[in-house]
Amino acid sequence: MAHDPSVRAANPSPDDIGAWRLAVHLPSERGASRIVTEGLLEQLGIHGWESADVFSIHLAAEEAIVNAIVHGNKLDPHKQVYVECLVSPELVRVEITDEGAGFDPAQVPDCTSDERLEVPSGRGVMLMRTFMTRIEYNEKGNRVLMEKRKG
Amino acid sequence: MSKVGDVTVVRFNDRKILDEAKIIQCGAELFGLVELDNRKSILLNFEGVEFLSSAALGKLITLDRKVKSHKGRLKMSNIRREIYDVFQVTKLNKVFDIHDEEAEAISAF
Repeated sequence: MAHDPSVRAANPSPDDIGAWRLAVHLPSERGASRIVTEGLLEQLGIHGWESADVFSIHLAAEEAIVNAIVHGNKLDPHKQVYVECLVSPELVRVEITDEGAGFDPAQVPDCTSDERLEVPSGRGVMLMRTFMTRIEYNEKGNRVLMEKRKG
Repeated sequence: MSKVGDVTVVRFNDRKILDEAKIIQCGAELFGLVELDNRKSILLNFEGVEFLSSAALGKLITLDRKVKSHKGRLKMSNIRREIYDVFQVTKLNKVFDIHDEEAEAISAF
């Protein structure tokens, strides 16, 4: 799977030294997010992240991975989702890439508008934006980088 | 699941993480209560639930609509702070009938 370099994590910085890292390919199946979230949650605890932040990071990661599987890869068993994580005491970084056609995150409708409030889907990107300190999509829209900084 | 008078109280005992996979399992059971068992007063007690994703919110919206279309009432209680924040951010706290505690919710049916 080609990686486009347009959105890359920053060069190694003091944040990254001694950090826990994970890099894994997930199948495009419901429930596959647990392959990442279980390890991620454990490491957040080990690195001293408090429960409100753990909840936020878990939520954003779950939403982003489910989006990649369901909307990006359309549950295609021939496609995978590539996830890279970094956890340090000060920074959590999660980058998720799918093999889909991409999308324009600016076109996601407002899920809190009257017309959309009772639609069962469409809240994932908004929740990711709300609960993480930084989120960036690549140009194509098949990769998202999210960060949470402590404090 | 238990009954308190006419109210069916659903608890999520083994479900501290209501992610997408889990909620698909629970959803079928919950819809069955309304469509097959014809329960009219349902309380979802979220005590012990530590995590809930937007897939769960979607199922709750669909459940709420089903209950209303069957002329029933759905309430929720014992939602922890972090999860309630998600309801607030998505403005779903205005759509759902949410109470702090089970006893208060039951008496409000």
